[in-house]
Amino acid sequence: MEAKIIQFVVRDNNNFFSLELAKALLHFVEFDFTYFWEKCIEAGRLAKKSGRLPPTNVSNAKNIIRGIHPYVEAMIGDDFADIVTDCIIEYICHSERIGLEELWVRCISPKNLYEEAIFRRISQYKTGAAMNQWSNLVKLQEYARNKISFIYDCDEEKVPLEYEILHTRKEYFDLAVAMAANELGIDGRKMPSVRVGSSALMPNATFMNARVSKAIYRRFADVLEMAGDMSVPPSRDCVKVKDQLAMDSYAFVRGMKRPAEMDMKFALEALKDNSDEVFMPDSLKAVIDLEFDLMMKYNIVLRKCESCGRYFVAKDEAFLCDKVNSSGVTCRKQYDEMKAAIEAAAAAVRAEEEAQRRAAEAEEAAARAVSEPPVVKKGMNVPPELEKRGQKIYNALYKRVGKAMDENEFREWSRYLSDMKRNIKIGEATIEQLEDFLDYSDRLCAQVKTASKNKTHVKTSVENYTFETVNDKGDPIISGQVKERIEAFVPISFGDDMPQEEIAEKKSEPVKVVAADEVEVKPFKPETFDSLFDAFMADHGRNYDEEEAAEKTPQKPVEIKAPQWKRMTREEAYGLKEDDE
Amino acid sequence: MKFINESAAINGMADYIIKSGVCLFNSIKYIYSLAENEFYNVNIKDVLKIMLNNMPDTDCIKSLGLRIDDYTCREMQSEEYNRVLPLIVFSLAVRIPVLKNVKCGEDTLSDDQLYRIYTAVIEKGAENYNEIISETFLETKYLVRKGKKVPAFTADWYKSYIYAKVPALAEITNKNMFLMGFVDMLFAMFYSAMEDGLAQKLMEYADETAAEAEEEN
Repeated sequence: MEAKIIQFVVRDNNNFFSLELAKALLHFVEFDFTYFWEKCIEAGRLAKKSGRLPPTNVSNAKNIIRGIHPYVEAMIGDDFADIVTDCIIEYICHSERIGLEELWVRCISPKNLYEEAIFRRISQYKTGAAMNQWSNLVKLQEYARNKISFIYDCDEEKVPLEYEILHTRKEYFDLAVAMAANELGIDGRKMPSVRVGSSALMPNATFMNARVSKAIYRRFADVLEMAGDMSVPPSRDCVKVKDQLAMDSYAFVRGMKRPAEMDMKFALEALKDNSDEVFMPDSLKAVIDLEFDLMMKYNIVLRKCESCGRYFVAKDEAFLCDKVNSSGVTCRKQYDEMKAAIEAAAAAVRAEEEAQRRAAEAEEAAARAVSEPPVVKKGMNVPPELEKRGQKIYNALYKRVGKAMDENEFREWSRYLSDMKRNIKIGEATIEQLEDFLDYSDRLCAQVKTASKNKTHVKTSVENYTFETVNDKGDPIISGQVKERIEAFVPISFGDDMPQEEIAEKKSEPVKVVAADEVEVKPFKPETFDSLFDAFMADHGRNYDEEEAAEKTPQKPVEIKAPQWKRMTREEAYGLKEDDE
Repeated sequence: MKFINESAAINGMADYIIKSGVCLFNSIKYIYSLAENEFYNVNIKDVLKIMLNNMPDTDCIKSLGLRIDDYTCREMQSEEYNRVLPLIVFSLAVRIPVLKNVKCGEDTLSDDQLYRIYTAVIEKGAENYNEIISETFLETKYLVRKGKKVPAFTADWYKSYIYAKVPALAEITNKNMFLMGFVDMLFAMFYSAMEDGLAQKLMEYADETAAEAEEEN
């Protein structure tokens, strides 16, 4: 919201003064008198010793108090010129518990300038020529505070108030004061008031616009000098003859024509900056009331800050001000930070609760786990009897490898057994499964033994165990129990990382049983490699193009030569020729 | 009466009487100006208090906002009225023998000393213009010597002079009627206060040690 500034004038002063609405009022109600009070008391003590008010202290104190309000600043040389003395008088009366009359009589024959100042000031109070401006300021500050509170304070719920409500409150407040004055017999016309008009209609208009006034006077000097003195005694009440006085004056300029172009330009230059609306309050209370009225007019609303309790100009619907408080940040920012902190704290509490809940659940699960058998696979050693049994079958089958049993089939069986043992140790298989497998191996061994006696292979015997029947296409039909076993064995034998398609392919392959005479048992001969590269390629590069590899692989060893350092000349280093020098 | 410096004492007493006359003269003007604009603003009791407490100085009355300028006392801006001041001083001078009643121990002013004070006052400008004041120095001296009561100090001669010589003030106006009313009370109160002040002044000049020695003898 743009700041609204008004212009005002004061009596016996030809200058214009500015006042920013709301800001001046808020500054006034928040002004701290402590420092001014201390300065005055100090000046009073010094004056009591020296016999005169120290000018420096008085000047400093006045400089402090003039900042309270633009009106006080405008009248600091007039109404508020003796405010320091006022403060001292108030202090003496308060501290010595005496009245003004007693103090006045005490100083009626002043012995020094200090007493004379006090006597003169109290005499002014007595004659109505002045009032104690210090106590007036204090009372007016309270008045302004109460009026703000009366008009702008919210009752219960923090809801921005409508204009009608605010306006009614203000009118009610002003009316209460007027009613009290009326009941006390105080004439309403003697109450503080504000005169409004353009600068040319102000009582001091002639002096405020002196240059143009002089130019006008030159035009009518002859006529005006001929006229007699029409001044009215100050004591005369001219309320009912004001028009007459004005028309008597107008009679002398009645035939006035517009001035020449040059004079008009001169007047334009001099008067163009004059405000259309100039206020002339006759007292500080009048200015304060004027501020309230204009704030209503321009819809400037005050609110009480929820945080610091100070009033501020409402910019939105918030009840927090943008004034920096004792914590060094604005109330609004402080509130935001506090809100964020509270939310963060709430989130932390929620997170902690969640963590506690999870921990409780985990504990509960752990408790359940303790009561129930462990789901987690736990490795165990193969029982020695099963180890012996497996070894026995291994030996029996090994004797008949190449006779009644194919070597590959034996290897496969052997790998099954060793994988089974390993899986039992890591918890991937159970003892029961091993026993089942050994049972099967016993039967296989028996078949192999039988075949060995009959000098035949045990193809059929394996088929009998593994595949109970063959379907129409010749593929084996696997019974449910056996199928489960195979499915359980196959991943073990082929490895978990083997793709399912490959596993399925392997499964679909019929178990091949070779006759004993067909089997050639060869001693184990480890694979040998000429180089590390060949060994690597044997595992990983089955499809590796050896020719391509041969091209890429350097055939000849790289000859490493020792570096030969050569000192460069400056010209060579900077790329200069000898001519470039 | 013994003085530390007799001539200085006589001159000082004469000065005090003249200053008191000026004080009364100005006080009349101040109170008269009150009727111009400040009739309901200034309490006349305050004016009298200030005047009586600061005699013969009247400057403090300004504190009440009263001014004795050409406008507010315009009716008093005349040669005739200016003669009131020497008349006031003369009216006070003829009452100098009353100081015979002031004692410093057992010491009092001699007739010669009283006369010298009177002469000094007259020399400083006191004048009985047109014989307005009926009282005389000798008459007062006689009354004092006989122990008779001296007549009250009234404003009768003042009013007579105004009616006779100052028509601007003799005119029937609110201000003038106010003037004629308050001067009676003012003259009486003033003289009472001045008498005390004069006696106090006399005691300041008196040589108390000499008086005490004389008493012992």
